[in-house]
Amino acid sequence: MDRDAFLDRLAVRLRRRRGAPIPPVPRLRTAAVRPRADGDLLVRRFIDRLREQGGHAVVVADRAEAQAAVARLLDEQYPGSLACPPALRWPAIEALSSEDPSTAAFGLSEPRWAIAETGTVVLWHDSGQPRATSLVPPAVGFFLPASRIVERLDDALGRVTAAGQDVPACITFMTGPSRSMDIGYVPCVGVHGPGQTTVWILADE
Amino acid sequence: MRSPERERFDATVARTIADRRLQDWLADFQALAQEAHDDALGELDDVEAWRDALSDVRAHTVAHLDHYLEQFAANVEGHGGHVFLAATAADARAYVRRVVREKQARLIVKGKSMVTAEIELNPMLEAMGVEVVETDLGEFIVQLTGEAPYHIIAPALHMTLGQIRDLFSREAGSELPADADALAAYARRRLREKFLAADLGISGVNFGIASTGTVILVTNEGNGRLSTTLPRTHVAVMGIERLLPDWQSLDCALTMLTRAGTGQRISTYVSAITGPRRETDEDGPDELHVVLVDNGRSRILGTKYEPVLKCVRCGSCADFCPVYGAIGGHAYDSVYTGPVGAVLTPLLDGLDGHVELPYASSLCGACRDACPARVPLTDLLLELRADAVRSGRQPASWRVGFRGYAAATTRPSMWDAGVRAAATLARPFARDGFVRSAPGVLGKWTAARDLRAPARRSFRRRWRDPSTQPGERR
Repeated sequence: MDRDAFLDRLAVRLRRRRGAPIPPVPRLRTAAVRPRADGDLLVRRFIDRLREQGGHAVVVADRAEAQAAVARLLDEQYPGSLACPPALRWPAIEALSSEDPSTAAFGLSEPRWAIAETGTVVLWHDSGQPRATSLVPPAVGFFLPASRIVERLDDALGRVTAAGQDVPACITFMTGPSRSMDIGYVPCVGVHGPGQTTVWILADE
Repeated sequence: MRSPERERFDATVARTIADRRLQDWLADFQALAQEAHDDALGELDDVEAWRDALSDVRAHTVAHLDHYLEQFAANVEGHGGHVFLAATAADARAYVRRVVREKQARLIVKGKSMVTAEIELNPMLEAMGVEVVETDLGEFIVQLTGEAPYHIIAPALHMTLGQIRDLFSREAGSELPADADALAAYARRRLREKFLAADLGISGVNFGIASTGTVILVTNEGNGRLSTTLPRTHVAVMGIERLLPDWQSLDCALTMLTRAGTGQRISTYVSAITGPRRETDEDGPDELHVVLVDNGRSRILGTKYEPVLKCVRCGSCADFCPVYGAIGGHAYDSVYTGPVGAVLTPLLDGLDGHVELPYASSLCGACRDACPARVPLTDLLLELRADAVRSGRQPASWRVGFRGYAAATTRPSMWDAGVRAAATLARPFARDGFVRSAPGVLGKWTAARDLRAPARRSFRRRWRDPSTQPGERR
């Protein structure tokens, strides 16, 4: 059946004329959303909500402090290579950086935004932001400028909407470590995706 | 004579009810799921407004499905993806077969997808000699046991940790510990090899965003992301009704899906895929195929059953259903379990072969109250029962019986006579105020429940009798 015949059949069932104007999309009553928070409250809420999902977030003064924390973590907990897009690398880490995330011990990415209500980082996978970096290594981290934390999911979705048809091929909303309850309803982490996630919130950005 | 389907239904129900371990576990699971559902939804200001919003946007999308489907397909193609509208399960299978042949795929990894089970995709792929690996941990477990999923979002819900340990130990060829983390680590190792070697990934779709042609996948384990990131070709299979108009409407759809389904504010991963990888992207599949499956859904459009298409597959109707809690997921004989399955399966596959499903409900309304999209499940179950009787799929005696009941309840004198006759007839079977074993067709009822013995004098007679004293015993 060709596409027009397929769609015609649906329109007939719905007693509609194809191409006829449609009413506006129904929306949530705004009263159902809590009053907005901002600034430090957003940062605190993001940290709390991510912790509830088994992730870890910490505020650092600047990018240099975050880089030092990553270097320490690699040294102490995740010996091996680092999967990290070139734009995020710094000289001291260059030698450890790998192009192949499937063998990396740690993956580092930079979210486009983060959502305080849910403790979520929003990854915008266009050029320079591979999908596998935050997915394949057993532990991952994020450098998150504090100004990119928005309050709710709808704030992030509004920003996606603003991109129009220029959305990338993949956007990931990621909240804490991979988890499952499929084995005897016992919670476990790191089933397919990373088992550990750390977010360094860059206070000065 | 009872149909083979009915025999199977009765046998599954009897087996589940006799299994004390399973009965206790289903009760515990439902209590946990209900608490998580209530806590997560309770966090929202004015949860009923959220329910209205989801119900309204899903109803709007379904009512203008031709429009949104056309827009969605055009936008998927605009971003370089391929779209196939499959009128039947066979059409959908044939399209996937063509893609698999063209890509010469030998190993396929699959993310969780109910619609691929509905269209029986795996048996076809296996018949082609392709290795198909379910990668959602629960689906992986039931693929190994050869069973159907037990619950919409928890496929291996019925299995204990010990049973899964035994299963994985057999697969591994060595004794694994009875520890969830260790068993998950075994599955991770085994499935990671498959992800890295797979030629093609097949996923389901939670929502399609019409305004940009985006496919939304909601998962917790990361297998959905791996299945749609590592293989060179991604085939996404979805029901035609799983659309949303735009990104803004994803807010209430996602918020309600995860809170109602698993009690999470959001799931660990929400992937939004718009076409295949772009030229400058560093990874992602080179090709994206979106297969939109009708397979009976369009027959529901424009009928009294249309509201069932609002369902977002959160599974909370099963979490709250006392009948699901007693008969378990396998009684539904379908990938769609619980009350929504009892409505959807007969509608998609026909009442023949599933005529018992609309009766697998006490009509208490717990499913309707739990549903985040306000699907009027109890109304739809009643409509299906009426259709089953009207279309002659139930014995003619039912129609006669219900007509008689209707006549009696609308004529007081006939009702009185009936009540008196029933009381007289029931008396020889009553012991200690209860009828525990009734003869004939009523015996099926008393096999599962005790019937309180009818009063010696009916309420209506006592009401009319001026000598009746307050507090007088019956």
